[in-house]
Amino acid sequence: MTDAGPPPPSRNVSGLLRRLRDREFTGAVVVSGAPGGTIHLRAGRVTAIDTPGSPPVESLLLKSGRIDEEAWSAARATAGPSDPVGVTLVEHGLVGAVELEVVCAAAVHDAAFALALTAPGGWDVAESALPPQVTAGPGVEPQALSQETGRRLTLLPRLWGSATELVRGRVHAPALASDPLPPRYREILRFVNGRRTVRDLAFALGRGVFPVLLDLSRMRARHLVTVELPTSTSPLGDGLGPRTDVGGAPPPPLPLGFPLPRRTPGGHLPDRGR
Amino acid sequence: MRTLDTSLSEILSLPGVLGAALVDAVTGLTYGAVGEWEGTGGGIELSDLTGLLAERLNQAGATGELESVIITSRRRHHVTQVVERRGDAVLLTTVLDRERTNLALAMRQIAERAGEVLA
Repeated sequence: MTDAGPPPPSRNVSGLLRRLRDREFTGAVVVSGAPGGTIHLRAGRVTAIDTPGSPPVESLLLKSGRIDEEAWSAARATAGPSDPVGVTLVEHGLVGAVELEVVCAAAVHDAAFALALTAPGGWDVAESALPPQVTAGPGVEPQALSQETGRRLTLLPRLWGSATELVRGRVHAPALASDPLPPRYREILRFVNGRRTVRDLAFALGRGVFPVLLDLSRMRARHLVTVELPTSTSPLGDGLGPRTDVGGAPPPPLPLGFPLPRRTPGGHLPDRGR
Repeated sequence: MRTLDTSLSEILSLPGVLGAALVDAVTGLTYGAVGEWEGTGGGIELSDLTGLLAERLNQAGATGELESVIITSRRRHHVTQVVERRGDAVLLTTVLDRERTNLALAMRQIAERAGEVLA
């Protein structure tokens, strides 16, 4: 840290991150809202983001089968403050150092995407936050991170539809595919059961939400899957996000004479796909 | 710990290699890049291209997975090697100086290095 004073107010989280990068801030930015999360910074670079909106590094490593649960628990037990989990995993030969760096960078980008799907309720700079569980590599430049997040958010409407709605949509597989399919598509179909949302699938597979959405959009083009968007007729959303779309104007009020009850975020956890 | 930057720099030390980058095969995210490699377009174009080729190969009945994509131009070779791993594959892409490179030999060396790039 090079500056002790509080950071100046920022118009949005990415603006704040850019300012904190200039100050080489080490600590965290806590974003409230749904899903909300904690952005960890080291010398202003984003080393990790904890959010319930996207699978954490732990899921990416365990669910994908890179590391088994037992080895993970053993690494956590031996890890200490001076010897974080990431270093232990590499030292035990459970994952390559470069591979872990790549997984961490992918997780940061995916979490930033998940956070950006809904407008944050607010944000706070925390100088002393609990350090992230796993980090590796130098971290991601905030400027590059917001550029990539912006690209992802504008890409999906061009390919398919609103990312905010799609991640909460339930995925169906209308018919058994007879064509030979790439292994990634077969793996996704193994977890599609009509109840899991796109986000649930990402957690179950141990893959990022954005890459799963990209695969689903290609699978949809081949009529392998359909996604049932969350609407007022299906009241059982996965409960992570508010129902209004980000950026767009709120829908006009219904002519009822009284306001409809509003869902409040929190209190619901996504089905992690047991 | 070994870093991605070191890992890519080792590939840069191979004869004739002008640049190298590691790109996510699904999202197109460029995890790291060294030297001159922009000639192949960005990571996003690269992942789109290999994704399309892999999909068409698969639809055409190819049973194996896509292994590499070679693009040759008058002065450069672009070799993109698919690096399979648990989880989504990554692409190791290298730009080679045509004058100084034997393509067959370079492909073999790059395929060998691809196995260690994530170590």
